[in-house]
Amino acid sequence: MSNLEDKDIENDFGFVRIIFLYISYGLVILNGKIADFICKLRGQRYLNTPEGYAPLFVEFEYFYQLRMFGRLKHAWDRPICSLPGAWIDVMERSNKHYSERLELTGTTKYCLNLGSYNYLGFAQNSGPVAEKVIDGIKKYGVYSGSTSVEVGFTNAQKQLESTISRFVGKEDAMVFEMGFATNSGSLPALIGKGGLIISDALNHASLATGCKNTGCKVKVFRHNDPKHLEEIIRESIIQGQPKTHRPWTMILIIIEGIYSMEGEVASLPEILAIKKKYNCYLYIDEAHSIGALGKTGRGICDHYQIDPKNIDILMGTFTKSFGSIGGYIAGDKTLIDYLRTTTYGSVYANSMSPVCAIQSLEALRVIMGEDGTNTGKEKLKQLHDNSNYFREKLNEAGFVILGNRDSPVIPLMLYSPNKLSSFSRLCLERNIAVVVVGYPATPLSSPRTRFCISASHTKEDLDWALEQIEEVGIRLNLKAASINYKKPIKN
Amino acid sequence: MSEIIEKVIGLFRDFIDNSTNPNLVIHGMMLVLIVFLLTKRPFKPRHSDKLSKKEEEELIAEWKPITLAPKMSNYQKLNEEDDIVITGSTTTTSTIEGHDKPLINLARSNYLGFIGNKEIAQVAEQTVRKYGVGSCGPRGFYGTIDVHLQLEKKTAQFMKAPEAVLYSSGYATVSSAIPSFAKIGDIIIADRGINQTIQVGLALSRSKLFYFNHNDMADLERILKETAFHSKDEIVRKFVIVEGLYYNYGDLSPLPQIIKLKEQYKFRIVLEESHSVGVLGSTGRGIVEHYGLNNKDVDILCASYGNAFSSGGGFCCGQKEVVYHQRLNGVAYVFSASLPPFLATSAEKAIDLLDQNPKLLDSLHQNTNQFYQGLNKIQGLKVTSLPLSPVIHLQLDQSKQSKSRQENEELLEKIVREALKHDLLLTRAKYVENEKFLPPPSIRVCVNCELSKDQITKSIQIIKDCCEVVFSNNKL
Repeated sequence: MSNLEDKDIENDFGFVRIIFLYISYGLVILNGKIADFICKLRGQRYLNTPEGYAPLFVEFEYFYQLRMFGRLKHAWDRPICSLPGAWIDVMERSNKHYSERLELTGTTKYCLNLGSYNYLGFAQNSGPVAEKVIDGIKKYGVYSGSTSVEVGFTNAQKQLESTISRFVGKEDAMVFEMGFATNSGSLPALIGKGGLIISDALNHASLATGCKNTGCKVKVFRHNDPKHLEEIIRESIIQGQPKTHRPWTMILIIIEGIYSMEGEVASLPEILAIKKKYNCYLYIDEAHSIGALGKTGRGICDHYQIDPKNIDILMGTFTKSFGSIGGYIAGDKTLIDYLRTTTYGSVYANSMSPVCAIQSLEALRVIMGEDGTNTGKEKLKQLHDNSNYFREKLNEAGFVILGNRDSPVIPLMLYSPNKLSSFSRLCLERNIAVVVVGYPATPLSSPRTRFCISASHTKEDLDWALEQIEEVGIRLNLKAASINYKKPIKN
Repeated sequence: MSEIIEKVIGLFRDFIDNSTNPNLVIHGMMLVLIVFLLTKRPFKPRHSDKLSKKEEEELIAEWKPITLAPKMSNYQKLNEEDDIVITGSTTTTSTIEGHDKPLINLARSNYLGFIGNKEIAQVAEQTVRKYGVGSCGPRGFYGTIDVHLQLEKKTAQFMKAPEAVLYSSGYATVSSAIPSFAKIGDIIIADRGINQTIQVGLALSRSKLFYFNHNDMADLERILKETAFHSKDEIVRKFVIVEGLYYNYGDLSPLPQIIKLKEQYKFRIVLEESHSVGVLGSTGRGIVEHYGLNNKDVDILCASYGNAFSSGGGFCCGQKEVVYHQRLNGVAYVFSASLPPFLATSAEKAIDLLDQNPKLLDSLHQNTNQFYQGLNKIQGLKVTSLPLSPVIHLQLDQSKQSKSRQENEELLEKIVREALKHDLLLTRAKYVENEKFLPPPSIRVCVNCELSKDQITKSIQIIKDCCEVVFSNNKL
């Protein structure tokens, strides 16, 4: 069975599990309906919709919010009161069923952080980067108060743009206030009517929002499946636009570097070959891969040793590896010049806070070794060592994990929605802060937990965490019961 | 010949007369007819539409995409040309690259002078020393930091609303809040003057869109009447979307009249207050306070911290359900990293400062008034905004306007450039060219409460002088 693909593992979990999965969903819904009924008898109503008005949203959405998500909500939105570094202080909350809001108890728990996207450990409150940031606050104030095309373009932003474009190996780059808005605001400027977007099935919501915003036809190919992509492209070029059969103005393929819920690295070489063969444009969202993948942290191109010039648009965020916020788009100079006056993100959204720009810039300089130290290289090595170590150990222990070697995102399959909550709670009891994800972020049948490894984790941290996870795993019967095999980790 | 025909007909008649069941004959004739029709060659060409492999390859080889970066239009070039790079900022001035002296900055929306405010900078510094810069995660995954909860609480208190939800960018706030409620099949009625960020939200909602003329209540009522019986059995969700202070026009929406219409036509009000929060009303609580209305009448209120409060992010407040719903359905809330903690504490401090010192608003109004009076007297320009709006739009006077929009924009740009030489930082209002309802070209002056009387007098004088220079050159 060792030749099974990841997709098969996701689906291959036997009838018994499927039956239990649906039974557990059924029970939750039944339970919710009974609770609804009791509420109705008591005269309580969902929404206080005034007479004559339509309800503000569909009743099922409220049912989901209150009766389904409501039962699990303690596993998400956990507030912390410290720096999001390797160890965090999680604020404890009361866990009363059906209370609309979890109340803070006022106590905190010191936990190992396996949830934040602090890949290179730049979430720091001291050190050279932090000092530069504080100088920046004094110089610029905390905010620009204007858009990039008007008077919000700061020197820090200018330097960041030139440095990031050098880092990713493109002619020019522009940065935005927010990673989400980078995608949702720039896609409409890139592609217009008559264009075709072919998007990976598991692309992030910001890309989906951007695609929706363009108003052009969007087709979806099976996750990371170059063959299916090629089929769609051939079919689309041959058939042309729907109804009119006019040729498409352009075809834009959108993929991600590392898929955040799968931990999987995109099959770039194959997709690149297809892109070249059919004259399509390629847009890569490197939100999770920039700074994390590759020997020098230059993302997916570095990982596969591909010249970035082959890719038309490289997008990424500063939220993850750089410990800041914001996003960038890198491409040819003519393209970026055009985008500067046409993307909503630069004409209508305020420019990036100069302070965040400085944090990103200084972190970037450390990664590139331009600060004159070896810190960046060490951090990158530490991250890769940590991720691979953690991945291998989990694999050896018999858990079903997804993703490729070197990827700092390590999903562990739970297969059942009720284990989401238990896993998260048991880990928190043992002082580990983990992220669990279920529907709608993943398919209904494959709830999972996701570990994000950081360079700031030490080997002792990880060993200790593995021990705890092992115990929790045994208790929840997570170790591939029906799949009795160990799969080699993909490169 | 005729004999034979007669004989045949006779035989035929005999056959019909003699046959026991005449229907059989009719059936037989039908059968013959069907066989005849079936054997006839159809009109449709026989060969199929299917392309051969070779033809497919040809089509694919022939197809060429257009270039990713089209040629820039003149308007885009004009917007791109002036590279103003800010190298430092204080509450009223900024330094820019290639210019020695600090410039008075009238181009950014720093109404209360909180950019460069010492107390805010101190709070921001303390926060960075505790939490670092980024939050490294979305709100759901350990990106919720205690300062976010505090800011949400403070904002709700400030806006006198039950709850508030934070977004990490002002731009994403309204464009995510609208589509989380308005879906396909709903009706949205929006003012034509709304800015593009709201337009994005409208487009994402996929609802049925109607636009009424800017601030024209009769037109709004006409559309409300038209849409009143849109569906027979079910009440359709209906939203009316207005801005508190229109950034593109510098005027107020007539909220009391809209609320009156609301009672009659039963719709929800979505109010965008990015530029009116912290500006309007006696204590800066926005347009609702300005008109002395009840907060409950506004269903969904969105605003950005980026203007009066000079910090990042935005918020949406309303009843409990409105806020809870967005925590699961607001895409930019769920799928984006949360606001950096230092911006959250800066915004909180800014709200505190405004609450402690309502005099800021008095001086903002005085400064606005002084600007309004002074700018109104300039020959060749006209002020199109209201006297109480700190966003002042200066358009070309009828006498100076030329027919083409581009020429007007260029003329205004010349004034901006000229002012730069005299240490005054101005900007034209810039838009994306294909905006649905492009506002007329203008210079946008944003008033700052920290400006002194002398600075204002000087600024007005500079604008006046620059206009004279530019207009006299233009004539030649």
